Amino acid sequence: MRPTRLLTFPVVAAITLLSCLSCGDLLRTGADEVLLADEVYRNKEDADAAIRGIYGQLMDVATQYVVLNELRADLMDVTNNAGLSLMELSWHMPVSHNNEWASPRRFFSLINNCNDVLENFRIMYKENRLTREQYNMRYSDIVAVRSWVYLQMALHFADATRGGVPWITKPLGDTGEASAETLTGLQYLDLPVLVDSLLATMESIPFKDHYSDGGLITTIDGYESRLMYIDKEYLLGELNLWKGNYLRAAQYFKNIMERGQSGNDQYDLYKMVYDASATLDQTSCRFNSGYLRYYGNDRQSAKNMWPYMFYETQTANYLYEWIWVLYFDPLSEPNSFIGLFAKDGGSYLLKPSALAMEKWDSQVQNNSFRGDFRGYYDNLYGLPGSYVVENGDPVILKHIYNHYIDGHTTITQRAGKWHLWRAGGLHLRYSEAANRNGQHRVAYAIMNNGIGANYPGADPDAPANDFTLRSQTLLPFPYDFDARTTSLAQLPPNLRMPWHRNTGVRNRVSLQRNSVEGDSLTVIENQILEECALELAFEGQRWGDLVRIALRRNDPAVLADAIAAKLNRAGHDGEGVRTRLMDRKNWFLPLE
Amino acid sequence: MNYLLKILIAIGFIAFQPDVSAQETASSGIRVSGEVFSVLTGKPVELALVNCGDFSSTFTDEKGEFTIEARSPDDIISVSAQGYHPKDILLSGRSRVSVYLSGEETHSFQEQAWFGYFSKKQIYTTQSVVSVRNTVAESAKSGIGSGEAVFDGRVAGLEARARNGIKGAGSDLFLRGYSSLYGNNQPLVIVDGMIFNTQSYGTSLIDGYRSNPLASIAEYDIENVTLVRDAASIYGAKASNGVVFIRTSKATQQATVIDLIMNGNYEMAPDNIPMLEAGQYRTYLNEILLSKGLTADSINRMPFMNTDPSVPGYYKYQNNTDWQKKVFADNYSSNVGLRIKGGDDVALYALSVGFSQQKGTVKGSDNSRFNFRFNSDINFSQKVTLNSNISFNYIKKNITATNIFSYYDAVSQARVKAPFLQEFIQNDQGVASPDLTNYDFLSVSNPVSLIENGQNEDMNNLLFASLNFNWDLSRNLTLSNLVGMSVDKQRQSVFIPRAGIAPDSTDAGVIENQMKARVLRHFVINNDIRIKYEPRLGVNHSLMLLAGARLNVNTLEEDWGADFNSANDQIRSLGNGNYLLRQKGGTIGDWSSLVWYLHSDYGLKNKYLFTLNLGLDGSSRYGSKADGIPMFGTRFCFYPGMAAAWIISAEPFLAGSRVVELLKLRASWGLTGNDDIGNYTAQKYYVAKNLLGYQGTMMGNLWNPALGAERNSRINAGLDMSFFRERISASVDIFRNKTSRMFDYVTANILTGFYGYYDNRGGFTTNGIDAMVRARVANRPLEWDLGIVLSKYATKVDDLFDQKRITPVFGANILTEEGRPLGLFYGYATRGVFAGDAEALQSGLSNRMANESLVPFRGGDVIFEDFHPDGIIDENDMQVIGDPAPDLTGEIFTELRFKRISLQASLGFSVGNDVFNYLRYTLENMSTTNNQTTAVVNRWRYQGQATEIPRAAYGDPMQNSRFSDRWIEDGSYARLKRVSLTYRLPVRSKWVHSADLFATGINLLTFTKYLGLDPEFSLNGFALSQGIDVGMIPQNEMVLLGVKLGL
Repeated sequence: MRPTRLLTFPVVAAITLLSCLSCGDLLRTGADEVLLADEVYRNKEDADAAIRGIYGQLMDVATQYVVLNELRADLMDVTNNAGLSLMELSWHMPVSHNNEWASPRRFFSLINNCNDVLENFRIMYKENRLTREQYNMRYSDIVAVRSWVYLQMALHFADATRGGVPWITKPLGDTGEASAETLTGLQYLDLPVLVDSLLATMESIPFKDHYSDGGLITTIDGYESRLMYIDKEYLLGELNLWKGNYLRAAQYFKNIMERGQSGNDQYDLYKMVYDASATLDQTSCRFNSGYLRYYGNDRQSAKNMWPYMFYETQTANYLYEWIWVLYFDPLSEPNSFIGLFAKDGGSYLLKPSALAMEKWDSQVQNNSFRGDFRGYYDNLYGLPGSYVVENGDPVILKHIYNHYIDGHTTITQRAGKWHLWRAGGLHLRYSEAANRNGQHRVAYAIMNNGIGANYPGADPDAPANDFTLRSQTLLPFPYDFDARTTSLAQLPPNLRMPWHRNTGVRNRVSLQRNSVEGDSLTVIENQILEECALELAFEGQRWGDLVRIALRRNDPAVLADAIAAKLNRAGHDGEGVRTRLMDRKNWFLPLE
Repeated sequence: MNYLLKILIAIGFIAFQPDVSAQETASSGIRVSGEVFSVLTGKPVELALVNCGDFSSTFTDEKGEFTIEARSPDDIISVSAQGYHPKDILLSGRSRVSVYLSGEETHSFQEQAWFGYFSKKQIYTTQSVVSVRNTVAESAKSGIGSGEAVFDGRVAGLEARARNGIKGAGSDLFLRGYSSLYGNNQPLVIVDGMIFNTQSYGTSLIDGYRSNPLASIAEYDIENVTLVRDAASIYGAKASNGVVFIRTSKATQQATVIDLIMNGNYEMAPDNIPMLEAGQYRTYLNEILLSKGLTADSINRMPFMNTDPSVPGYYKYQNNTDWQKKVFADNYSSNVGLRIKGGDDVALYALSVGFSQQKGTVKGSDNSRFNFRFNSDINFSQKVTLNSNISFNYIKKNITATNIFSYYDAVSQARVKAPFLQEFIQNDQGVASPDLTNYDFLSVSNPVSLIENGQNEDMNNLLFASLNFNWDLSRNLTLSNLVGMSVDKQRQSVFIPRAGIAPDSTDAGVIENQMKARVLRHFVINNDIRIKYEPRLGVNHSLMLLAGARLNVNTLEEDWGADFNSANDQIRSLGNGNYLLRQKGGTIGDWSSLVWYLHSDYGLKNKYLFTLNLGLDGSSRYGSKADGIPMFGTRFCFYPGMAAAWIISAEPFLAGSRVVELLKLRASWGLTGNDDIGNYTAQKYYVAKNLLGYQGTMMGNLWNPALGAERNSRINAGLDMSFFRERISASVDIFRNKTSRMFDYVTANILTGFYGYYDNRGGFTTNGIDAMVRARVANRPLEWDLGIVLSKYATKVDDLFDQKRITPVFGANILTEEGRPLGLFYGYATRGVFAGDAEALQSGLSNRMANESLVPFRGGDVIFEDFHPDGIIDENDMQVIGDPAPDLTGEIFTELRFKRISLQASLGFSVGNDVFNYLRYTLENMSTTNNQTTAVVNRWRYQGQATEIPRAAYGDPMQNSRFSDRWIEDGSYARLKRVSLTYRLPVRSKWVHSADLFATGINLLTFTKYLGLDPEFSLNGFALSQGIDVGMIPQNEMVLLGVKLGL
């Protein structure tokens, strides 16, 4: 080889290197392990991934949501297995610094991520990476999630010095955005003020319906995704109820009740109906509980179908009841409630409070038997109820029904659901709004034994077979109910109006209707609050219900008495806690 | 500062002067005469070559006398002769000099140190540099290890802490302690000018085992190792732990030289940990089951309590098995290496091939290595040369067991298994069958089954190659480009059988057998282009300027899969298990860095020496707003460093002294950094967040765009000395290494929802002193060399964003607190054991239980010191109970030579370091049915019993075995690491030029009070896990016999 030719390599190498050095991103590496900021929010699929990320994170607050809303309230208590962090919540002790259950971190994380998603959606829309329609749907959904998270956080947390929770609507993604100056400059909103903000935000979202995009309405691991997304109308109903806009609240709730437009949907969907087949068969029971037909006074014939709503998935019954529910899948994320509640396969940290059990046990059924199918009502043909007694220990079942029934020897049996909103709650919320809106009878009917039974409404001048004015409220929206059902011989003949199957929350589980004596408004509201405890116990509604009513009546005793009663019943210092809770400041956990 | 400025200006001035010809001063030459002697014999050296630069040259006569012309009274003359270190003599005005040459085998500052780009005599170095020479003969005696064995114990300030005794596991290197809390603490290793990766990436499937890249460098391929202990700023943000330059073999002459080494060694099985015998264990088991709540009656009905031989199953429980003997065994290893050097005037080459097979002390474990290296130096023309270095290695290990506790680690199971059982199934007459038993009624696996049926295999191959082109542009100017690559591939394959192994329950189901596999690929490209300018400036000035750019591009991918419950133990590959249990994972990482560097040396009159180092370091890892200059999409940090030295012995008042041969004062300061901050930590990123099985995204970090490298400033002052014609040489360095802008995880404001973010906050300082003394105690006929290296350092945390934090590591609590040393053990102090309930009651102490209730201590409980006096023992009573940092470490080494026999020995020691004996913590806690050490024979058993060992209690409700000073021991030790006897056979045949026979004993003696098996270990390289001995496979005594032939 000639020396000159041998020079080629070093020279070429040198030139290559030097030319390399001139390209601007020599030291920028692509990341395969993570997604760098320029690898996300490029198109609609990225936007959908961000939405799934938000709902995925929402799953992470499932247990904390239940613990905060139930353990801090009056229906749930700790077992001897629970550690200090749960005791502190149940007994309203000052919380330790490292109490993860009492940390708002996950809520803030969700809010931060929602804000980041919203900000990026805005940019995508502006840069035409999302159409107006695509943007509206997605943006509205994430605003609703954020609002719900805010409401939940504000129910439990408040800054010790400034009060309330900070109102953050911009992402805190880097140390500059999260600098001390930015954070101290935030506005802190007290719960009622926050509700105003949330309501204003929610009322202004451009889209209040369900997604209609195939990328989001799909089947994920065998579960329909439709019910996984937050129901914006329900949230709006709730916020209006918090705010005191009762008519508006009732309208939103009524909208949901009226969603069924054809076929069985128009009679059954979210309408709290009786078992049309009257057999209490698992496939058609609509979660009615009672006794075998013609054996109404035989304790042995009790048949508890109501709890199947927590066990079944994607059945007709199920779809008529559930409004918002998220799923635990054994292969991706096993049911995190098992650890909290189960005795077998879990740590059994939480149990029903003695007070809650008493509430159910003191209910009177239509046949004058005592007890409530929704508590623990031993029966041969159905399921136990909200809890079961195993070897003398009460075990909460609502969240672990799949685990309880299917067993727990393999991972496939660690499925489960996170129950958020359903027809039972919808009807009680509607009742609450109607009652406050002066429609005591509507409220009473919905809560007790249905529209039909409470609106005989016969016209004295009309023939006996004229049902024209019967079984109807004859009120304008949202109090318009038509429960007529007629035979061929009746007038008008062969009529099946949408509400004819409505049976009422209490009647669905064969409970006697409440009697109303005194001021209907307060008495019915108290009954609704009590009914919420019986129907929705452990589902994460209780603390909110107590706070809402207490704030509305400006009477902290509503909350303080309930919790004091729980502690007294469990043998703790209920009176001390009552005194503390009479000061609204003490309802809230510190923001740390 | 003005002074420095002047020097800089002077350097600049000189650099731009036209080449000053040496010939100009030729006329003003002066005559110097002298004589050359050998230190070894005291006799004159004949025919020694005497040079004065390239100005004049001569040889000594038979009386060792010479006369030579020098350019100035401050000139240097150099003298070299075969078998001696070439020596530079500074005239310092003298016209007659006596030169004493010391033999090549002794230590001398006249030796060359190698810096990757250039070499320099140690007498002229301004920085804290130690150079270690290595020969094939030396390596042959040391057995088989990995590259670091060459310099282990020879360099003050360097601790090569053996990780454990697993063959080929290697050492963690610590040069002057720690520089980073969460980042890499290993020094940068440069092999033949190219960055060599020493980090172990990814997650090993074999608990307790980490890959050891240095194992791929055969010791006999190493010729020189130079360590820069102070700031090597030209390596920028990779040099915060110092730099180790390794130069592999090179041919220096055309004659063919062949070396063949063969050795074999015999290693003794480790000592057994004294565990309870069958009878003692039965009593213990009875007691622990009682404390579990079982009734005496139900225990008595258990089969192991049966005393009637006629009852079936009696014999099954009547053994006395020493389970540790079933897993450990003596073993034999062998090693063959061949090296050929030679060439012609165009190319010189050095080729080496080696194969070794080592067995480990755990039965079934081994380590096989094949290594190949081909280095060549090719002269394409007078101006263009090429150095190529190509090496390839293949290493395969069967690890069998590491003793990290699990149901499927043979050693850990052997220690806890009931001694009254045995490994073979016995019939009702007590006759054993050849079939192995299943796991036992206490859920302990059969260790023998694990060894025979299990597999823990690790394979690794590394191709490390570089081509370095040099182009002499002019007489003073050389352009070089090194381009190289490193292709590292690691594979692990694990199989845990079902037979004999206790099943493991997980959330997902019961695990019966396990199949795991992992592949890691690490591909690196390096390019280093540089220009060297070395003008000839006459006698009084010398200058070298080196400037270049170094690019390092990495891609790493790791993939692993784990599958469980295949149909039977013969089906061992992934994909045959239960899909519900299947797991997979991996990592992918890309990173690259670019460093522009400048190194310059300036010498004034050969005795005032100055060095300036500059590094401008940029990495893909830095944040966009990190400290530094924005270029190429990232930030570049500036790392200056400077050093100066004064050769005092060259001053006229010391020149020619019979006592002082060399006296050199050095001082240096420089900045370095640590870029081990994670590949994407400083980028804003999103991570996967699934909704059920459908992938979604969420924010991954609270992005800190200002995150950059850690900064480490290194100040060093040192003295190099040699006396009595180099018979004694010594070196002392004091240093201060200060880490600032420390890479730390800072708690974020809760409003962000993030736990924290990475930031450059806080720092710590290490102060220390390193000393080395080497002496030729006696000369012929018995030559005796003695050396000692000592080092001592102390690290203090200066600044921590949270002032104080406690990190749990393997049951220990490690304290990091401002103003205190790094890595302290933080736990409970104990004061013995309560002899009785009355004494316990009197103390008034109670224990805070996990559920916050208070339970009073009783007899047999440990007396914990109520440090925060409130009568309650809880976490407020924790205090510092030990410091894992040694007060002093060092090594003493000696060599005796008499005629054909030589004897070498080295003794390593460490004083004042505390060790957390985790193994004892797990084997003496008396809280499970596991077998315990014999210490528990003295456990508290009745009221009034005075003892140091608490009562046995199932589950340890009173936490008597919590992390306390009961488990902290003095880890001081002195170990005879190596003693080696060599006999040089008097052969001189046509085929065999030389033959050395040698016998070496390794780790023959260890003096220590430490109760663990091996006082020398390293859990990992992290600053917060020092001194935690998890009881991995210990290093053992070994005897090695071998031969080295020169062909």
